[in-house]
Amino acid sequence: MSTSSAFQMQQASVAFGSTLALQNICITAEVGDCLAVVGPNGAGKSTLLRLLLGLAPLRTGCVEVFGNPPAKSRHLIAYMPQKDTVDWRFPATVADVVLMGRWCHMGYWPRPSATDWQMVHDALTAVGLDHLANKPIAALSGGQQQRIFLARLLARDARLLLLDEPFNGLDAATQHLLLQLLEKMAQEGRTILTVLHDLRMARRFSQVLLLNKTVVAAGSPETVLQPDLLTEAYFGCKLNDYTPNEVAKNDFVSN
Amino acid sequence: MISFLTEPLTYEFMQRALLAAILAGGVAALAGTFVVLRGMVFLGDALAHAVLPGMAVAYVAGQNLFIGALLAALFTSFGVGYVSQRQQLHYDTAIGILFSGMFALGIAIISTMRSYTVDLTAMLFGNVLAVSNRELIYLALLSCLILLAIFTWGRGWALLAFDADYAAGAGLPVKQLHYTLLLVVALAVVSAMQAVGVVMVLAMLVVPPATARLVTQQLPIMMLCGVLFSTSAACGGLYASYYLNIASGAAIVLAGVLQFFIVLFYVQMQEKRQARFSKTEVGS
Repeated sequence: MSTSSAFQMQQASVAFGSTLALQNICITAEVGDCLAVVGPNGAGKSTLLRLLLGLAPLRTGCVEVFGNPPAKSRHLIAYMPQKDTVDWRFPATVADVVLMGRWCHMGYWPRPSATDWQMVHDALTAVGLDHLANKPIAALSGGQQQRIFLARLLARDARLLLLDEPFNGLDAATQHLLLQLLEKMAQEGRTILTVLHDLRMARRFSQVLLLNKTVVAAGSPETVLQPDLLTEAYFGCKLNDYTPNEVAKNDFVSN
Repeated sequence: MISFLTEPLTYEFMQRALLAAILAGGVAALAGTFVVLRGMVFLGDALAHAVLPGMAVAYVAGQNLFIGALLAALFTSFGVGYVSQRQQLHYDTAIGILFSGMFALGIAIISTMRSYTVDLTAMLFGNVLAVSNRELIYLALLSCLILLAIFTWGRGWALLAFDADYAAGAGLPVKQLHYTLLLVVALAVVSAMQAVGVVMVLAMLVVPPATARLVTQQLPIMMLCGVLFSTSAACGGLYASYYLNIASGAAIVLAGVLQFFIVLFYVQMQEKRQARFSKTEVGS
């Protein structure tokens, strides 16, 4: 494995019981890469993220993150789950949630230091929610919840960032803010892997991975976001197998 | 008025009962906070009922009831984990099976005893007025153990309750945290058992934290308020039990539930008043 690669998967397959979720995945990401993962529902996009966290059951193949098995590199990885997976009625303030990002940097009896609070403050400022630090999370709107998650990710100060559909429910201004933050972090030498469902958004990333249980295509947005490849990934067949009518019906492919 | 408060305390058994109810209620409220936040109330109820066979066996063998109950609670929590590994079965189905099985086993064992109804009543409904000095010491030790566990793992449990995926991704030992929480809930159940009995232990775990949740949005304050509410329910319940001559366990639980509804109505009224206030502000 080259020293500059952030993570590498070789012939990795994941199965839950008898259901195959990912098959023969071979990808390598260099440090500083900004990857978008796109594919239909059930393509295994979230599973790919969980595989990098060492949380998905690897059936065959091997996965390495910064030269180690994922479970051993977790301190270098920051993960932003979809915001619907958590209980937003939980009794916590905005600052409490962002501080969770700092826990791995504290000891066994975690007591936040001045540096930790500074990081929390900086992260909240970066997402423009510093004024809400002491507000209960139950009072936040959907877009604000997403930004809090982003602030927690920033406070984590990790080298590999895994984001699961971070653009969901964001207005155009916040989407722009998020893209800028991701670009800035990539320039700082962090590696970013983002699951997306909006194909237009994928064009803004340096690399795109088209997934449907297996890697359909990978490379620059121009080479990957092609009608024939997208049809293959989303409909499981080559473009020529479709009648022109059906292709027209699914005209988002050509957009 | 002062004699109203001091008269019951002239009896030594009432002093012990009050101390036991406050201690047991306090730790149950602390552990219960995480039960409520993680949405595992049914599991708490199952643990509470499942300790019965352990207590019964310990009673028959002349051993310490605490230890019997604790072993049974541990067996149940691991049993639920084991059964729910089957993908076809939901977690709450596994709980239902273990819960009813263990409870039936307890009743079966107790029914073989000569003083069947007396012993069963004591175990099902508790008898805090009969707490001995020795049991009080056990209770104090258990409470220290529970407090230590909360200091050590409380943050982890909180993160697990809020965002289990993130907790796993951040490298927290999720399974270990889950089982330590179950262990602490089992300890809290066992300590509250003497005060209110198997059937009503759940109230000690759930009602004070739920009341506390109504008045605060912060976890540390919620835990503190939970302890305060549980203490006031224990005191109120015991005095009611003394003056109105009703069963002590039931009186404590009823005091807690009454307190919950008073707080609920108060909070709702405050919210309505605030809404009206902001409306008039907008109008002017």
